[in-house]
Formats: sequence, C-alpha cells, structure tokens
Amino acid sequence: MLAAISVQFLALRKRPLVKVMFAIYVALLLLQFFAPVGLLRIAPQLGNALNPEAALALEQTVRLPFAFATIFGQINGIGGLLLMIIAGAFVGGDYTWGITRTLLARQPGRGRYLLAKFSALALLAAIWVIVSVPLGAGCALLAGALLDLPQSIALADLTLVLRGLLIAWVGLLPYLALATCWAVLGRGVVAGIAGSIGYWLFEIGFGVASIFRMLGSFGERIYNFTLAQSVGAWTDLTRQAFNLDVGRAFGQFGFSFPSLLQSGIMLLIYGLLFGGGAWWGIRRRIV
Amino acid sequence: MLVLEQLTKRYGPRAVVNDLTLTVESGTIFGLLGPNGAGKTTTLAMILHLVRPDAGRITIDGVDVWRQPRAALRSVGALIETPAFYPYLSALDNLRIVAGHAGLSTGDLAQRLVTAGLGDVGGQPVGTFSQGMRQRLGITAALLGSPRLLILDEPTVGLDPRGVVELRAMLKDLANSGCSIIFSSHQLAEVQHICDHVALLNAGRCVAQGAVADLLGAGGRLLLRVGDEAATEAAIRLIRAWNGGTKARIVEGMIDALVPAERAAVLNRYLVEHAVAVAELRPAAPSLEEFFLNQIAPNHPAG
Repeated sequence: MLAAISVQFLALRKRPLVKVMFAIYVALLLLQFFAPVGLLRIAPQLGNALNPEAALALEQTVRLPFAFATIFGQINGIGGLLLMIIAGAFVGGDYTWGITRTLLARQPGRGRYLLAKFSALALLAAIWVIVSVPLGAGCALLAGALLDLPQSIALADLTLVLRGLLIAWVGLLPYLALATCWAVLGRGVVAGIAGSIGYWLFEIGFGVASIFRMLGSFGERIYNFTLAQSVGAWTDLTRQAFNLDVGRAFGQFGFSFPSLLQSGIMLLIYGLLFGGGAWWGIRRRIV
Repeated sequence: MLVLEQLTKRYGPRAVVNDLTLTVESGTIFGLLGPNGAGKTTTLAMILHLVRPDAGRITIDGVDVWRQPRAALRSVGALIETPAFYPYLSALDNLRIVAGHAGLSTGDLAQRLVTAGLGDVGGQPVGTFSQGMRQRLGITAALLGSPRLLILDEPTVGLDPRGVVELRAMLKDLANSGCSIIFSSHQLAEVQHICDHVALLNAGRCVAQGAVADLLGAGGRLLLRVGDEAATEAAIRLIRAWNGGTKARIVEGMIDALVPAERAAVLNRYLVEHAVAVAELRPAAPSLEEFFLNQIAPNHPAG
C-alpha cells in the first residue's frame, strides 16, 4: 500500500496543475498581507485615511500572532478551493487519460487504488497546510515591519498553531473527498472539478441566502448542517484563539456556527457520504 | 489456461458479447479477431476485471476472475485499448507508477526501457512521444512482472515495420517459455503470422475458432480452370446447380467455388459427366483475411 501511495504522490507532485494552483495560492496569500500595507500606508497619503477602529482591525490581520488567523483562514478558504480543483483533476484525469484501466488491469484492487489516490491528496494537503504557516508568518513579519507594528510569538501561540494545523488539515479532507467522489462518479476531470465547485457554490449561495434572511428559520437551521458550516465551526476555533472571532461577527446578523458536536458528527457523515460514494463508484462502475 | 464460459455483456438491450465460450491453452498465441464493435475489447476488459459480465464465467488456471480477482490476475500483464500514461511524467516514472501499484519490483525499469528501444528517451515526458513510442512503452508496462498470461489489444498499432518484427519475435519467445498470449488485432496478416489459434467474433458472437491452419484448411474452396470463356460459363452454371446450390464466382478466368477440398474428386466427376473438361483443379489456400471476410459476409465469394 505504501508503494502505491508513494507512486501516486509522485504523479501528484509532478503535475503542472499543482504548481500553478500553489502559485495562485501564494500570490493570493501575498495579496492578503500586502494589500493592507498598501491601504494603511498609501491611503492616508491620498487623503483617504481609514477610521482608527478599521485601521486597527486591518493591522491585526497582518500582525503576529493575530496574523495566524489570517493564514488559517486562507488555508481553509481559497486553499480548500484550489485543493479541490487539484483533487478533481487528479482523480478524474486517470479516467480522462485512460490510466485507470492501465493501473487496474494490474489488479492492485480498486479500493486500494482509490485509497492510494486519496492518501496522496491528503499528504499534499498536509504539506500545503504546513508550508502555508511559515510562508504566511514570513509575510506577516515583513508586512508588520513595513507598518512598524509590534509583533510577538509566545510558546502558547505555537501550541495553538499546531492545533490549528491539525484542524485546518482535517477541514480540507471532506472537500478532497467531495472532489474525488464527483470525479469517480462522473469518470473524468470535468465532473471532478465542475461537480465539486458547483457544490461549493451551492453552499455559498445557501449561506448568502441564509445571512440575508431569505430562507426563514427552518432554512437557516438546515444551513447549519452544510459542509461549509460544519468545517467553519471547527476552523473558527483557531480564528478565535488568535482574536478573530468570525462567529461573533456573524452574530451581529443573528447568525452562528453550529456546535462542535453537531459539526463533528456532520463532518463524519459527509466523509462517509463522499468517501462511500467514491468507493461505490470505483467498485461498481466500469472503468 | 484461460477459459471463458458462456460470457455475456449487455449495454441496454444490445448484447455486446453474447454467450462467448473459448479456451486459451498455456503457451499459445491466441488471436481475437472481429470487425469494429464485435466485442473484442469488451471481452478483454471482462477478463481483466474492468467490465463486469452480465452472465458467464472466466477462469485463469481454474481461479474465477470475478470471485478472486487478485489471485486470478496476479500474473497477468495487459495493454488494453490505447497505451495510457501520465503525459507530463517521464517513461521511467510512468513505469514506476504501474509497478508500484502492482506491487512489482522497480529495480530493472531503466534496463527494460533500453530493451524496448526507449533507453534514450526514458527521462522525457510521455506527452512528447510518438504513437509508436507509446505503444512500445505500453508493451513494456504489460510485460512488467513477467506475466504468465499477456493480453494485448491492438499491439501493433503505430509500430514501424522493425517494431512489428521485434514484437513478433518477442511474442514467439514468450509463448515458447510457456506464456499464453491473447492478441486482438485488425491486422489479419499479422495475426496469421503470429497466432496459433484464433477466435472470430462478430456482433458479440464467436462465429469461428480453432487452430489457424485448421480454419484456413477447412475454408472449403476450390479453384478450377476449364478452358475458354464459354466452357467457364457452362461450368459455373453447372456448379451453381450442383448439390442443391453451390456458391461460385469467376476470378481472373478461374472458377472459385465454395466446395471443401475433400469433395474435389466428386466435383470433377460431376463436371466430366456433364461434358466439361477440367484443365486445373486445386484447393484455394485462403488468407486469414479472406476467411474473415467469408465468415462475416456470408455471401462471399458468390457475391
């Protein structure tokens, strides 16, 4: 099994799409840190200074240790979307190129093949998460220096970062399973990417409708069972730890994340649903 | 030994493979022939546990492929449809992936590429390969792990004449070492050169199977020369009326009649009794191509 995971990771890490997606991710991470520098440094010179409260909030997003909340937000936000695209292309590509037949004709076992592919994706996600933290912290140090902000990291912060890493990684896995499921059921790259992004957009639309009170209380309760809310409830723990409480901000709209217990159960259900769908598809469908 | 028993696969109401039964003995090169849509690739995919049959049974050395796939297919190598690889990876990395998934050794992969004539390009992305180079890589991948049953779907497509000759020699060597080979192809001359046994599929059914020599010998055609044009016309009328109606046509001045070789003397006596002097009478030795066309187009050769 380790040999199968190892060769799948080889196929994944050498894929040009992974490099492109990571370059986009880094570019957006840089933007996340240096756009505030621009706003805080240049806007006052143009006579458009932010009010002190807004400026302080913006400074917090690029200043360590609070900047960790920004980094983890980026990981599970745009990072999740980009990794989902990679997963859809990686699993679906085997069908599109006909490689599934080449590999399965040698009888590795269909479940084993799928598990090797998913494990390679999970490993990439782990590396992605781990690399993001020093990269983001480096950006924060530079941005903070440009803005003359005091920065500090205590040992307790590092403990929270470690917990945050684990939560961020686990929070990415259902999205990888979602893309894998679509790619297997649709037997191709297009199904993998379009299916998972479609689902992601559906949940965003659901969220927007819920925030703007377009769904009624029943619809809002249902929204709290979505994948986005279930992942959000856990990743918000990290943001809260670094003084960025999205839940509290949402609370101004009378809106809150589900409980950790409910979201934990829902993540398990989503994992079983997407993983089971992919498992059923690979075992039962023609390759 | 590979055995297919009453194998059937349907897509909707259409039977792509219909009640197919055949046996491939160890150490033989078995040709699977048929026109497009005959069910060749579907049959191979069912043997490889890629497409689930609706009915029937497939066993390799007595082990059921669909009950114990890993045990049955442990020593099977295959090239099915087109050789498919990651285009952005090198030939060597692609072989590593196939070997890694199959749990095979990756120690001698570079040497295998050299043997396949791909030693110089082993580090280049497969996306830059020609069809022939991909085909060589596909065959190399199929041979990983020294399989005892090799399944090759159209393996000569894209190969240059030298590649075809090398493949032919390699397959003969493998068969001599006890490896069974199933070889599907449209290139019937190639099949005639390489295969010991063939099965001809048409519309999902097996319409003929056996040793190539037996099938061609049992083709049952005679060539006759009877003299001038008028005598030829008279003779062909007699033959068509003989034995309740016999198919015959004129080809380059000779009569090509659908009559088994063992009935040549009876036909000769019949013509002589009807005042037709037979100048030449010999069995036609059909090529596999002619046999194939005869079987899938029943009006041939009478036309």
